[in-house]
Order: sequence, then C-alpha cells, then structure tokens
Amino acid sequence: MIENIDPKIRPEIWQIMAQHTGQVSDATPQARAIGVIITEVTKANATGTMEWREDLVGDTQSGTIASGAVITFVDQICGAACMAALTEPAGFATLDLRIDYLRPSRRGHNLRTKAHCYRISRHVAFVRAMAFDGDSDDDQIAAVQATFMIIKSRKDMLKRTNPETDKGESV
Amino acid sequence: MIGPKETIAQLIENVPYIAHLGLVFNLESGEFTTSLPYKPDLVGNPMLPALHGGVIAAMMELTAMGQVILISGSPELPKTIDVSIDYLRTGKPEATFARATITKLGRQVANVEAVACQSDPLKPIAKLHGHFLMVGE
Repeated sequence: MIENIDPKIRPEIWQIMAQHTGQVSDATPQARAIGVIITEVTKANATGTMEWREDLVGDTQSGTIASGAVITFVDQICGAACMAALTEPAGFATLDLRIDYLRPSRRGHNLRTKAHCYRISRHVAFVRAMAFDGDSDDDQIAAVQATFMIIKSRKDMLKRTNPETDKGESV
Repeated sequence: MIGPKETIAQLIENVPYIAHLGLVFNLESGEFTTSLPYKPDLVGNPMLPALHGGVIAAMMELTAMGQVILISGSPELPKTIDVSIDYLRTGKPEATFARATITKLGRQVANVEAVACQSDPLKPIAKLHGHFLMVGE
C-alpha cells in the first residue's frame, strides 16, 4: 500500500499505522498486558484481536471474558480508529464509552473488534464499534459507541495532568 | 444466608480477572469500596503517564457488581447488560478508589452507578452507569 505513494507526499497517519499492524502494541502497557493486537488499519477504521486467556475470564463457570477486559480492548481499538481518522498528529482521550452486551463471549473464543470513526471535528471524534467472538458477522457479542476528545498540542495534554494547573476543570 | 465477606470471596474466586487487575475489595469500614493499587502495566498512555480508561471502567464495573451481590444477597454473578462510562479527569499513576450505589434493584435488573477517584475524593476521575441482569438466562 505504502509503496505506491509518491515519496514527496507525506504518508497519512493511518498509512503509517497500517505498516505496524499484527504486533502487540508496545506503546500501551495495558493493551500489551491483555494481549491486544491491531490487525488492520484503513482510513478511520481499525480492527483488532484479543486472545482468550484464563486470567481474563469474568465467570469461571461460563469461561466468558470479563467485561472489564472487553472494555479495555474495545477502547483501544476505538482509539486506533480515531487515530486513523486524524489528518495531523494529535493526542486524544476517551470522553465517554458505552457498551451493550448482546451475549456473553464463549470459552476459548478469541475476540475481534471492528471500529469506525464516522465523524471527526477539530475537538471531538465519534466512533462506533462491534465486538465478535468468532469470524462471522453473526458472532457479535457487543456494540460500542465512544467519543474522543482531540488534544492538539502536547503542552495542552501535559497541562491537564499537572496538579499545579489542575483547578478541577474537566478534561 | 452467607455473610458479605464470604460473598465477596466467592466473587473474587469466580472472576479471575479481578486478580489480573489487582483489585482490592474493602468491607471493613462499613461502606463497601474498592481500591486499585498502581502498577506499571495498568498504564494506557505512557507519555503522560495516565491509567488506561478501560482499567478504570473495569474497576468501576466490578465495584458495581460487588455492590449488587452485597445488596441482593444473591451470590450469583450479575451479568452486564450495558455500561456507560464518562471520563472526567486523567487517571494519574497512583492508587484509585471506587464506590457504587444501587439506584434501583429490580427482580431482574439492577440499575447501578459507580464513581472512581484518586487522592482527592472531591475530584472524581470517572463515572459509570450500568444495568446488570440478576437472573440466569
């Protein structure tokens, strides 16, 4: 994909992301801890997988993956879709996320999430995602809606975490 | 009926993910709270650094589930129908605390709210609102 692009033109963010798919994210310690892998990136879209693991189980009787781990997983893929929609480098933070569970995931089944950022403005990005516990579209386990705040400068981002300047305003 | 301590012990045993997260359930003070000690692999953004939003969500959700089990007196694991999380502030690399309130405990569904904060209890870092199914399918 990248080879066909005129070297004079700077590759888009999603194109750079697409070159690094298939590996466990080193940039996000928690994504690595639960084994999130981004498998495919196109403009404003991201797909990822998370392997079924005993220590991520939320109910030993059914073997379903804990909702908390699923939320971290979908949040990560929604964030990747948001990043793949950016036209220039920026930071972003999850503003809100809603997840509806259609059914519990099955024991031993790896999870897969497809996320699409369907609208991005200067300050906010809107993302929808679906999570599955199989290869078919019939294997959907959850529906997700997330909103991200776009943070343009690193200075802004650091200001938000500095207790000196944090006068209690919301992020 | 089994006591709150046994109920929570059963919850921890049924949910291996609680140990993975390192979530601690506190029943001593009379009010049920949870705490999540900081560890490096909970970080979502190492540049800031900030806790992963999913970790904060997971913590609040497990707190909500614990509260449902304690109030309903049923050791059966509530199933999450939906949760909605509002992120209010960046989760700093330090201990996080959560508590949950049952808004309505129905026969089938519990409507629960949870809130997480860090060093300053007046500055919540995230809020959760969720519905939990209390009966087997």
